[in-house]
Amino acid sequence: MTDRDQRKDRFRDRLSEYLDGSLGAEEEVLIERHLERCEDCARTLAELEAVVERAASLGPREPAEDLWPGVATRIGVRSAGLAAAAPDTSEAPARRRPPAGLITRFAPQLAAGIALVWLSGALVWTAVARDAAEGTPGAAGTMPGLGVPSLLPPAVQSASTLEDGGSSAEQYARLIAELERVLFDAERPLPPETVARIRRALVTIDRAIEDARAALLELPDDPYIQQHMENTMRRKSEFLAQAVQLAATD
Amino acid sequence: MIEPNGKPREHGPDARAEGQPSTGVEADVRAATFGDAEAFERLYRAHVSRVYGLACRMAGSERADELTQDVFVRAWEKLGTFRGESAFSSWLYRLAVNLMCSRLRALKLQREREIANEIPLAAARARHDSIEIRLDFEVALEQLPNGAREVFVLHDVEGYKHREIAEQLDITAGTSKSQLHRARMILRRHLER
Repeated sequence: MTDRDQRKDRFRDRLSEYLDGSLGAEEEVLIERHLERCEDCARTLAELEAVVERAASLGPREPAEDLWPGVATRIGVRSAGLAAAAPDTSEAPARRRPPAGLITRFAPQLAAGIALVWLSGALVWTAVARDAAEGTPGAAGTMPGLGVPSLLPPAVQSASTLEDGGSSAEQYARLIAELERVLFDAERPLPPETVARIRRALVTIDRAIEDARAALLELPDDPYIQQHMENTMRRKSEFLAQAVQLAATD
Repeated sequence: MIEPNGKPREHGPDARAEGQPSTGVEADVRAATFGDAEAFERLYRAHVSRVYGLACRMAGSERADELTQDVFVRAWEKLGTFRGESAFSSWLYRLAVNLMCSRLRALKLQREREIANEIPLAAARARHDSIEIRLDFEVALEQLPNGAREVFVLHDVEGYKHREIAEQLDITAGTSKSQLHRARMILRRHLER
């Protein structure tokens, strides 16, 4: 390779940077002088410019097949069948359905909370029912107001009646406090293993309530989170009410 | 992680986000955040072609389906972290770029593709030079050696800066510049004439 070729290569290697305007002023002037004399490099520069223009014009590409069903499966939802509809994101706000997966920064906890609350309740009551030789709480009716089973002590029944003052969550909180007092301060305590199971389940439920509470601190006016909080507390009160009933009929 | 500086780009993520309608997207993002799968499907359908295009160019068509799905699964999982400070599309594409780069790094594809693609590209180039076959620019792009291809896509297609690319690909800015030049020098031979 001659000196001239080497010099040309050296300039050519900087053409992209020249094109992007990322060279210093001095180098830029040197390149420009070289380009005036070197047809090869001037042609290369024009070609590089064309490449950059072409790259900038590259548009989106459609997948050969609809990938949504695979995504839907992996995130645990069913496809809503929107494939045929043209994507129009300017429509009215989407209809909210009960959350299939709650994906806010709180959502993983909230979603896990919902699942665990139900799972905890189901598992505990399956076990408790085994423990209890007779009498099941399922025979009870449901009281008006906060929707907890009947056959509860008067203090609980009183606490379970919806009042005008305070939010539903606050009223559930009062009911829960009363249920816990009745359950754990009862004259005839439940068997230790039953209490242990209930307490374990309550840890899970309380964690879900804490997550909902944290979410509410961040988004206090969000109706969905408010509803979620209320539902979680209702589930806790229902769970405790069943435990109280079991203690009363044991 | 690439965190673009938010300045308008000539043809980068932020510039592309500007033209999109905001109200419907915002409503869909919010609904999807609370688990509305239909809203998320609308977001998917509105953005899939750009994510898929990015996946094809970054990792090749053979991996694009899987990568595209991965991006949307990750987006669903991370929606709660989207605070609306940038356009949803910008957030999604940043997530896509981050995921694809980390995946490519993890798979250590670079050397594989260096070896596998130099030969067909050289063959294609020879064909093109001799009988002036129009080689599709996208095909040529996909066949660029790994490393050069990623830098080219991120810089010239997606509008990222060398500093950002260096951070994302765990290379120096100088390497990013030289890989970009390498990619452009190869691709200039494959422009339609």
